[in-house]
Amino acid sequence: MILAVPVALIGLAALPFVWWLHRKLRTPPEIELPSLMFLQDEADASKLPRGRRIDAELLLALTATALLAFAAAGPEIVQREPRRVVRVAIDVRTARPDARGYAERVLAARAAIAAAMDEADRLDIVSVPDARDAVGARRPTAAALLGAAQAGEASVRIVISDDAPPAETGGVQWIAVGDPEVENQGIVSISVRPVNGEVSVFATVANHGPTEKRLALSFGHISPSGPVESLGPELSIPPEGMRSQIFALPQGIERLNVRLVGRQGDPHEDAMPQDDGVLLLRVALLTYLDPGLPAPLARRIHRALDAILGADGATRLTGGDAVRAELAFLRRGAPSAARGAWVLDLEPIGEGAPALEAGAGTDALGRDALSEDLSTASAGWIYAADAELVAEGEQVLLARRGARRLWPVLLRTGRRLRLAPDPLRGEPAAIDTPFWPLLIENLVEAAGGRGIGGGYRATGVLDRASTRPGRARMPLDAARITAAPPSVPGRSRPLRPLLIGAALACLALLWAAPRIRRRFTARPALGVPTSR
Amino acid sequence: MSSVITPPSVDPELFPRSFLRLLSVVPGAVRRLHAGVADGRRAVRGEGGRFLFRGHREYRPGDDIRRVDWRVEARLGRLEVRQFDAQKDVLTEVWLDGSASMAPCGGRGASARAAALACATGLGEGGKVRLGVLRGGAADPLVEASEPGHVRRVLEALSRDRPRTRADLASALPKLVRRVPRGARVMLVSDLLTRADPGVLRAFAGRALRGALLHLRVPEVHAPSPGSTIVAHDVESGAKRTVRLDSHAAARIAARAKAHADLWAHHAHMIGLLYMPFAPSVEPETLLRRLALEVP
Repeated sequence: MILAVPVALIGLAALPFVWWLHRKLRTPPEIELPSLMFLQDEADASKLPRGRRIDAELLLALTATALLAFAAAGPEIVQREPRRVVRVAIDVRTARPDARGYAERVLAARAAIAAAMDEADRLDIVSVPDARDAVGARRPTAAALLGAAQAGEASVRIVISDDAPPAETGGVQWIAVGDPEVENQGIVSISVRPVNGEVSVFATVANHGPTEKRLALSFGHISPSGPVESLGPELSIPPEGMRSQIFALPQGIERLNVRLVGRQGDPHEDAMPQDDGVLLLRVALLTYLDPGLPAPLARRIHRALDAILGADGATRLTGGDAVRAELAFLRRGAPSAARGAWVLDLEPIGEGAPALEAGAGTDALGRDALSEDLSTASAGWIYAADAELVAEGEQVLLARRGARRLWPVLLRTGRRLRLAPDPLRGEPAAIDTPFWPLLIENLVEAAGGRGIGGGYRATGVLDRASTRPGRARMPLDAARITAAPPSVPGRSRPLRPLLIGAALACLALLWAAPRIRRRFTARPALGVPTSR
Repeated sequence: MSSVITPPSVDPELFPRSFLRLLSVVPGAVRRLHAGVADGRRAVRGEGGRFLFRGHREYRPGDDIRRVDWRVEARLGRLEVRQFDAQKDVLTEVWLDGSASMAPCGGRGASARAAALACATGLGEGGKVRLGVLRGGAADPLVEASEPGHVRRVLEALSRDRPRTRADLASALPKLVRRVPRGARVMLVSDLLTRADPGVLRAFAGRALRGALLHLRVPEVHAPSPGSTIVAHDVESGAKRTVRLDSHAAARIAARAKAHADLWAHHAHMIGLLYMPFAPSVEPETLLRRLALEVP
């Protein structure tokens, strides 16, 4: 270190000069004396053997110079190295449990991270399990990974996932370790709508591969006469593209199995078989009205709901508990989980609901109070039957859909939508209530696009990102680790004041040595007046 | 306030203005110094005294009580005071060692000033002065002065003369004896750095001389400070010698110098000379006071 400081180098280089200067100054001075009469009996020092003895003054001069040189280098005693904490959240459940070499790639990423760290740094690894396994998802959400990475004090936060995240989040580095050679095709969305006495199934298939794929959709159900398997028309799916298909089926199918197959109905094999099939189950559409409502009004409400939901003949329920469900909205046309943990909270009908008799003609009341932007906290409440959420970018818009006549009715019933934790992700709330099919599948699209209309529930539809494993890998930005400030600052003690003090002490001793010697060395008395 | 103008031929390094101012007040200072001393005490010094007895007169109020002749009062019963005339013809011989060893370590200036003060004291007391130099075994007079205004001649002579060669006191002092009249006051200024036997001073014995031996003692020679090794260079012989001046060596050197000085002091005392050592750093005022009060 001292070699990098020019002043310190000069100081060290001056040591020989100090030695030479000292020797020069120590050369016996020639003094002109009136007579050598009294010196004749003294031994001639020039003829005496030169004794080796410690020269204290030279030692002090060299020590002071060396100390100053070292002080110029600014040395420090490091009592504790600054330490950085690199927190790594690992997506332990990949979109493809059988992904080839995923564990090895995760280990390689860990090794790369460790190589970019200093010895004093600490690696803090957390594994993020998927809490949504119960509803079919196999990957932790980006929010869950981010939350795990951001927890705790860390200088660097890294998420290791098997695929690239949708967007980089500030302060968190993503490393995708998916297999870049993998190819996958899967059903990314499906919906059912009643159309003229039939149900129209609308399915979208994505191709995550470098080549065009020609596939078909197979629709199977059980009819009174036995299993029925219908093969849809062939879909030519371009590389990294999608194709949609509408297939009409008769109403009343309780269980519809939609599968992705080859052109001739051959089995289709790819890297991720989980997204090759979707199971649609017909469920009862439940609506709930306050039992205190007048019968004519209740009928009007039911008719309006049926018209909206397309669920004619749904089971009617009365009473019940509050229902919470996650809000889902469209992000650039694709279903996506709501930001944060926005859910619907529908309070039970009849609790504090005002009477409906005066409800007629109050259409404008709630409309004026309705917030256009749910992303702000001002949206205290909205009405389920009137809600349609549309996302554009990061902005969530609330729009009205159909059934204008329903609006004042629901308004007066006091139904309210709130944002609250999602019970479907393990939060404490009952999810299997009579309300949830109605609310999740019909009024609001559930997270992940799993809820569809038409009175069906869908299982097996994965996130579009989940169906695209390993295609976009993200390398480790080691420079970010290196440049990160330490989360635990180091502690060091500068030595410069100590060294300078010691050097000054040496110089003071050097200055005082002759005076001390004279003070404590008896000088012979001259024995004559010496006034000056 | 009198202004002192340095004559051009007077070396200002030897005789700085402050010293010249001191010289200008020497006559008055000598009188003041002598006024504090009983005339009787000074009068009995030496053979015949320095003042001549003139006679008695009747005591008058205000007279110095010390001048009352109590033997007259005892014999005749009246108060009579003694009256003296100052001796005007006292000759002061000031002889300066002119060897080269007088020059280093401030010796030249100190010895020149001491010689000048000795001359000024003799002139201030109303006597005559002869200044000479001892060099090369000879005693050569430089200048004679008979009144205080002649101090300038003394200064000029001292400025012109430069220490050189050896004094050879063993040869010079016997020759000086023949030059000095009986009863004269002799002021011998020398560093005495000679291997000559101090017994050479015995040549002055029996000549009723008085005066002083002003011994210039240079600390570098007589009491060197302990320290590191030095290379000593003899200005007279040019010889060099490397000496480690530790405390023991310094003590030994000082002891030798003291023994040497004691020997010369002893012989000076034997012939009636006051041994008066002085260092180059001595204040001229101090030297003047000693010359005026202590030297007979």
